[in-house]
Amino acid sequence: MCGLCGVLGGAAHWSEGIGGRDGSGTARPWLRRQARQRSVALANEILRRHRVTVRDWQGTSFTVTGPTGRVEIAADLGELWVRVQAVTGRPLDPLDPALLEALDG
Amino acid sequence: MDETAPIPVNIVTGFLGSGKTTLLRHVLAHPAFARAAVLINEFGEIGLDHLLVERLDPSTVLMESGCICCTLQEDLRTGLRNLHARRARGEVPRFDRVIIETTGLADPAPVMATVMNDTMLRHHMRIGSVVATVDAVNAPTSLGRFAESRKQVALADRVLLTKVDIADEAQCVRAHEHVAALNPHARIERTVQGAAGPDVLAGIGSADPAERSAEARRWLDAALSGRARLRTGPAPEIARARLARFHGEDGTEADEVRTLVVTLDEPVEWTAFGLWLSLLVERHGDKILRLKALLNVEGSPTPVVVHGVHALLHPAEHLERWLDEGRQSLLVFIVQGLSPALLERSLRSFLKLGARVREAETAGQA
Repeated sequence: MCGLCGVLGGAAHWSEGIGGRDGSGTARPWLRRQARQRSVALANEILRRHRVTVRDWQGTSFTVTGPTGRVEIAADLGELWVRVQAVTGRPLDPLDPALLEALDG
Repeated sequence: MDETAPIPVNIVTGFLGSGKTTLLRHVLAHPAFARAAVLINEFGEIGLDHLLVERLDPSTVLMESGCICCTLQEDLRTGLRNLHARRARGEVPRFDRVIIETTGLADPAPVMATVMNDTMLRHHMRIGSVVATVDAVNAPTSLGRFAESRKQVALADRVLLTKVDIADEAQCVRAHEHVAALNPHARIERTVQGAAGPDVLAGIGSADPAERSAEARRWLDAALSGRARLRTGPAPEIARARLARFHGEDGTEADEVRTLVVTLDEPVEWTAFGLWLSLLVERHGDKILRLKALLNVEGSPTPVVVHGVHALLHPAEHLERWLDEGRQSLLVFIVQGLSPALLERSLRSFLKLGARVREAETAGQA
């Protein structure tokens, strides 16, 4: 349980523990940090056109800030997209051709 | 057996009268399943399945009413929790496996969800392989007319064609084609009177690394041969037309089950893949019947396996070693009401973005 906010720890997200440049997964703290930083950078690229900003929060959660300044906390990548919908008021669709065109640059 | 290892939960599914109970009766007679606990549910007034299976296994728990999957998830959850508690207290033998037989009209996905989502169960049990029985004589009817039957086949790791002793060869071949078109990664076998070996319930979620690798090899081969058959294969015109219909390539049926097999030559940037799949299942999980992926993850010396049902994804895991030298990533999606072409485009766009972000990161460090 997080001593600060009293949130009970959930199950690990399915994507955790894989990755890292030397193939050792994300067991080592710096590799975990690196993976989180890259997740944040990628999420911000994906969400740029929706004026949503994602930040790492204490290495344990993500904060999601919407175009109106509303802030939500996401525990993991699965919850991230739910929070994005909460701050933008609409779901993000990974199959939306307009989004894909924007991503392809 | 490692007493702390999660207990595998196998699901035996199949349409009405397709031979689930016959299969169970045969499997349970094998010494390897002497310590299996069986959960069945009574459907309708007769409860025939219960009467047959109960005699085989004293630890059978009868669901109180109706269909496990639609209305009795709570009963299933309670049933599994009670079974585990009784095991811990020594009130029932220390079973090493749970087998759930669904009703003929059931969707196996909620059964899997019950085990994977429950805070207590997911620490003590894991979903093992899903086995579906398909009556070789009636396959065109049941698979053609009933969405439940298609869903059961789409979710299965293994499909057993039953009643092959009373079907002629043409019927068996047709049934095989139907099943392969719906689920290119399933291992399809013929059985007579439920006669299947103990490995019928082995699966990719096994605790044994060798078994996991062997299972990955099997579905990889099945997926690749299924794709080849669909795109270029020697299948006769009539069979190809049928495959196309089952894959919805004519685009006429929006809710038809379709399959996407993608191979990727470049290593996969894991973070981008994780974000993409998380978003995909969050937004379209209800339309993803099944997904399996064997990935060459950038920086990882061994392949990574990801598999799931709807929005439920098993924790990603490394296999011990590569199965071949090609190291190609392979992803298989069985979807309903989604465009396979758009799905592939989306995956590739996200992966390209991942590669760009990684390159920028590397350039920044240099």
